[in-house]
This record gives sequence, structure tokens and C-alpha cells, in this order.
Amino acid sequence: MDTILKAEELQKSYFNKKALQGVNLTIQQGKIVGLLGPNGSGKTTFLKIAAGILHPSSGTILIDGQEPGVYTKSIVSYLPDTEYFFKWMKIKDAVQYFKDFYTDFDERKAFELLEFMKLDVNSSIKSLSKGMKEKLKLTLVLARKAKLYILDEPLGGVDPTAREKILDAIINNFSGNSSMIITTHLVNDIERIFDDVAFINDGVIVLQGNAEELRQSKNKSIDELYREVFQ
Amino acid sequence: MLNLIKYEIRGKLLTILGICLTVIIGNLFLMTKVSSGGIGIPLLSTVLGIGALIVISISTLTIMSDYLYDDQGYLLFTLPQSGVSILASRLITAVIQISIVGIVSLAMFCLLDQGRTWNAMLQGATLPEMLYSILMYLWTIVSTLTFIYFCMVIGRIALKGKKIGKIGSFIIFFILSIVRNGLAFLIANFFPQIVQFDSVTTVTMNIGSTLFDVMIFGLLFMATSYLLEHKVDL
Amino acid sequence: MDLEFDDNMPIYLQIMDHIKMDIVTKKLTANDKLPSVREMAMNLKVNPNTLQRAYQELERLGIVYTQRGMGTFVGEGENMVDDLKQEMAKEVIDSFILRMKRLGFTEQEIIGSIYQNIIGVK
Repeated sequence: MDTILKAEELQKSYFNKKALQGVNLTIQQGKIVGLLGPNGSGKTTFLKIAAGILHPSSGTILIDGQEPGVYTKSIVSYLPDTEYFFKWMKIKDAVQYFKDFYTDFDERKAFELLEFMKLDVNSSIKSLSKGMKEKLKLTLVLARKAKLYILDEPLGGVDPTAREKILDAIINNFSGNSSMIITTHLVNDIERIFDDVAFINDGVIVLQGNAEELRQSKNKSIDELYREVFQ
Repeated sequence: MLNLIKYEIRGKLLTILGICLTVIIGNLFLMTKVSSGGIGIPLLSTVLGIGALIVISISTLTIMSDYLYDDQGYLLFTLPQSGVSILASRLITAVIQISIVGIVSLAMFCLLDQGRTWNAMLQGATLPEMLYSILMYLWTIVSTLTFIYFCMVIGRIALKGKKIGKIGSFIIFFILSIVRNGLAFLIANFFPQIVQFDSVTTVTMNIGSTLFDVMIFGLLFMATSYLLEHKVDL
Repeated sequence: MDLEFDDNMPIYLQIMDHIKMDIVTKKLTANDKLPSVREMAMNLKVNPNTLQRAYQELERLGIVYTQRGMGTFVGEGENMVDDLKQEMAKEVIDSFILRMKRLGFTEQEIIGSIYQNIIGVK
């Protein structure tokens, strides 16, 4: 089994704070990893570095054996926490955009997912509600046959029925050839889809392991473990 | 790269069309006043044209600042595109945008004064001179924009905050311009060799400072591409 | 299938228990095809690897068998159902005895209370 992501002593400092203080994390092919932690713990910083839009201060991170750059961006599908679409676009323009720039984009799958999410391709993005924009983002991200999916709070700001759909889409998209790293603070809803979990606090991984093994050894759900670790 | 150009133009299509329409309508209005206005009318048309060019030039800057400071940057910088591709497409799109507005303004002006100025220019001009003008036109846009983009990217990387970053970029631009011009002046003095050719106007080019300008452009282009690809933190 | 999972315990074990229960109660019989890993994962909203592990463990225990490209099927061992039934019963009984002892009952008292509760009531 290949290692799709390997971070060693990854650090990121800003003028006034240290966001990451030596993160060590390995993700194998075919695994779904939950990166769990409170706001400000460094999880978004870590994901941005993996996505290649933020650069570490020191340490290494390799994705499919390469440092973040043009190649890794072509095999990493990133779902950021922001609304990043061009305001003039309609949904079908966004689909075309992804198709034009990513060779691994599966248009047919995108349309299937859009239908599943009940989104109309002709709607303008400006007219979409927050929940619909989240579903659209996820659709485009999952419609790529990427090696690594990076999802930053995919369930954030979305009502429970939409969450169900999003989880279904994530599970259905799973393949042994790709991996996922997902951050969330809604641990309860999503813990059953994690293979491994890593708890991050103050820029370091404080606990990590296989989800099932943790359940067995600690006799707790991941959600309870999360509350315990982060008080 | 071609895709980047395609989407940038689509994004600014409304702006370009809006400006062109304004120029066209403005000039049509002026044409109704031709008989009574005298020299003021062609002047106003020129002013209108220059205004339009200024507006479209500003828009070439706002595209870059949107990439660097707005959420749209997340979309652009996660694309598997090299820094060279991003910068080159930005410059090419800018040339296209400015040229469209420029051509429309020029066409309207010529319509206004019935092609008199245009014919006068064409009569005296030779082919090399026309090519030279076009080359100079392209060179000015590309080298100036590269210089400004370089300052914007440095401002983004070095300074935190949208307002501080933009003001900082401006200050950097100001300072670097003085430095650049100062150096060009010094070089021109040390190496006074020039190239000259006459036709409608006499064109004088100092070899030393021209080479210097080209080198600086090359350096700034590479530097900006590198920074866009490897150093911009969103 | 709409299982209620207890997230405090490994999920793959709970899935295995559920399948074993279905076999014991004859909901699933010999050579029945189990739903595919992907299908089950979708229905239960669980990571497919967890399903995979459950199936693999069941196969290791000889309760199911896999045919490449075809799927996973319930085993047809003669005594399998009975063995499973006995095994699961033992788990229940052991757990019951442990809890009764915790309450303070002696072994004699435990038998007595069973008698009372099952036969005495009639």
C-alpha cells in the first residue's frame, strides 16, 4: 500500500503565532482520515499546506512522493472552507471550468452528483443558498478522480438533510485508489466513515490511531474521545 | 494557459462591453455636435478614449488583486498551473482587454473627424515605423504591468492585511520606479550610444538603457512567476 | 437494514454480530448472498473498509465465504448454525451470570431466580 501523504515535523509560523509546531502524519492509499481539533488548532493550516496554497516554514510534506506544486495540485482535490466561485458563473460554467483545468474530472459523474444533490445546472451561483453552494463545491471536488481528497469542514453550515446527502456522496465516492482527509467538528455525524483519526491541538498531533482500535481500547466513541481530549 | 485567458476575458466581458458602449454612445453624441463645437469636439473624443483606457487598465490591476486577496484566489491557486502560465495569461488578457477598448476608441475618433488625422498619419509612416509603434505599445503594457504585478505580489507576501498590502504595494512600486529610472538614467549616461531613425517622428533609443529595461523585465517576469507559484500564502 | 450502532464499540464487531444473528434466526440461510461491501456501507453510512473487515473476519471464522468477482456468501457448514447459536447463547449467559454476581447473587440463587422467572410465572 502506497503512502499518499507524509508530513514530517511540519511547522508554520506567522509573525505573531505558530500555527503548526511539528506535525507528523502519514496517510495510506485507500484510507479516510479524520483530522479533528477545535478552531485554531492548526487543522485548516495543515490542509492548506497540503493543497499547496500555503507554504511551510520548516519540515517536509510529500504528496505521492512530491513536494506540493503543480503535480500535486493535479492529483489533489481540495474543498476549502470559503466560497470561491466566480460570481458571474452558472453551475454549468463551474462544471466546464473544472473540466477545462483538470484532466481527471469526470463530467458524467458531476452531472449525476448534481442530480443527486438536486441542483439545477442552469442556476446562477449568486442565487444559491449557502447549503446549495456547499453541495456544489463538494460535487465538483468529488467528480474528480483524484488521489487525495482534502475536505475542510464539508458539513459546515449545512442543514441535517443536506449533511446526509453529503455523507452519502462521500461514502459512495470511496475507492481503494484514493484517500481522503476530512476535518470537522461535527464528529458525531461523521465518525463512522473514518478509518483513522488524528487529534490536533495547538499545532501538534496529540493522539492518532485506527478508529476501531481506539473504540476498542478506550471503550468510547470517537466523539466522546474528542470531548475528553479537548475538554 | 489558454483556458486561463478564456475565463479571465469571460469574467470581465461585461466591463469591456460596458466601456466600449460608453465610448461608442459618447462619440455618437459628440458627432451630433460636430458642426457647432469646433476643436473642442475631437478633443472631447480623445479625452473619452483616454478615460476608457484608464478604466480598463485599472481593471487589469483589480483582476490580480482579486486573485491575491479575495476568495477567488482559492480557485486559481489550487489549479495545476505554473506561475509562468498564470502571469503570462494575465499579461496576454490585459493586452487583449486594452486593445479592444483602444481600437474601439480609435475607430470612433476616426469616424468623428472623418479619418483626416488617420490619413495624415498613414501618409508619412513607413512599415518599420508602424511595426515599431505596435511593438512599443505592446512592450509598454507588458513591461509596466509586470512591474506593477511584481510589486503587488511582493506586497501580498510581505505584508499582512488587505489594506496594508495594497498600500504597501503602491509604496514599493513608487520606490522601485524611482530606483529603476535612476539606474536607467545612469546607464544612459555611461553608455551614450544610440539608435536613431527618422520618419514621421524622430525616434531615439539608447542601447544601454533599452537593454537594461529588457533585462529588468525578464528578471521581474521570472521573479513574479516564481513568487506566484512558490511563495504566495492564502 | 437500519442498525442502531453503539459508537463506543468497534463497529465491525457490531456488524458481525448482526450478521451472525440473522444467520441464527434463519433470516439468512446457507449460500445466501450478503449485500456487497459498497452497498452495505452506503446503507449503514459506514466506511467500506469497516464492512470489508467484518466480512473478512467472518470468513476467517468460517461463517461466510467469498467468491472472487461474485461476492460474499453465507457458509453451508452443517453444524454452523447450531454452533453459532450456542456460541452467541454462551455470550449472553456469561454476561448475565457476571451481572447477577455483581448484584450479589450466588450461583444457587441465580438458578433459583431463573426457575422463578421462566417456570414460576406460568
